[in-house]
Amino acid sequence: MKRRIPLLIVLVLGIFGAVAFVIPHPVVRTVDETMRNDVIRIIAAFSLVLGVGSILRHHFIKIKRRAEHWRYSYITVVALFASAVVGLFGGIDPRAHGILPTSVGSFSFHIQSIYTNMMVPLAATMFSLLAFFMASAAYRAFRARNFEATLLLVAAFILMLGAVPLGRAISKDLPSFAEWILQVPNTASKRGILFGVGLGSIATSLKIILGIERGWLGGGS
Amino acid sequence: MNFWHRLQAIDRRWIYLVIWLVVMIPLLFPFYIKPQASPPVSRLFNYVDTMPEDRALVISFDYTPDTQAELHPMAIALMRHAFANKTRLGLLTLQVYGLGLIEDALQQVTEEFNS
Repeated sequence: MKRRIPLLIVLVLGIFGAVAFVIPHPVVRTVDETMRNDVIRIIAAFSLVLGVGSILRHHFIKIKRRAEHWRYSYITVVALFASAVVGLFGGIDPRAHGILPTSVGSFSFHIQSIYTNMMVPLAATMFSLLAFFMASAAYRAFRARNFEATLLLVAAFILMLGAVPLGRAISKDLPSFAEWILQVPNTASKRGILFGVGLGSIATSLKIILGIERGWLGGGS
Repeated sequence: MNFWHRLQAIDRRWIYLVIWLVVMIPLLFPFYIKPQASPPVSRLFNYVDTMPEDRALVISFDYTPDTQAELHPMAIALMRHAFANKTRLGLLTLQVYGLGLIEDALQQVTEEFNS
């Protein structure tokens, strides 16, 4: 019963979600809109609680067991609570004050200030460090080993050159050619990949809806 | 080991050094490159310029702070163009991080046009 009820809910709602697209009846449309707009929001609220609970549990266990890099877990937990307190009680930005005192000296405590002063520099730092690894990986990957790899190398070279002013200085047609590569062969292959992903998603969805794939139910009895 | 093999087996620290130099040299010794509008940029500019008055321009801020240096100036330039033309503007994002970027861009451009 513990497994049958979730499987039945998924079967009924999964089939309904798919057929609602092809049944223009007002009742079906209304139920479909309610499911998509209201029910999904309620589920998202529950998943938020589940997500916060899950991340706290993971890091508390890590601290308790003194697992590898356990000290960083303190940073995650403190950052989570600090952001939540500032977001809930400190206000959104200087124009929308919260119930907490929103400024100390010239520094204003609100979620936008955390975002601008911490999130943005941290993300920029991470990406800047990644640039070094990406350059190293690209250097090793772009080898003219065979015809396909050579094609990749040449296309990447033309695209990079076409995107900078130097490319136009070399040839006025280079940016247009780079754009053609981006719009024609690149779009064609991307669409092909997306078709494959779409078909794969349909197959996986059908397996879940029909109860063939039950990994989402979790382990145990 | 021939030249090409030796080039492939190069220590990654040399690549890091080259990247560091590529970043640091223009930073320490700035030089001016006249930017040229690429064909898609020209098309977008003309599109915004010739938009009918009853239409609104909607910009989607679907990027994150890690690519802000690359994409934020483009979004701000597009907003400035819309403000200058008095085009109705809508800003949206499908990402949580986009909200902060919208807030930042909106504050910057409105301050520029109000001052």
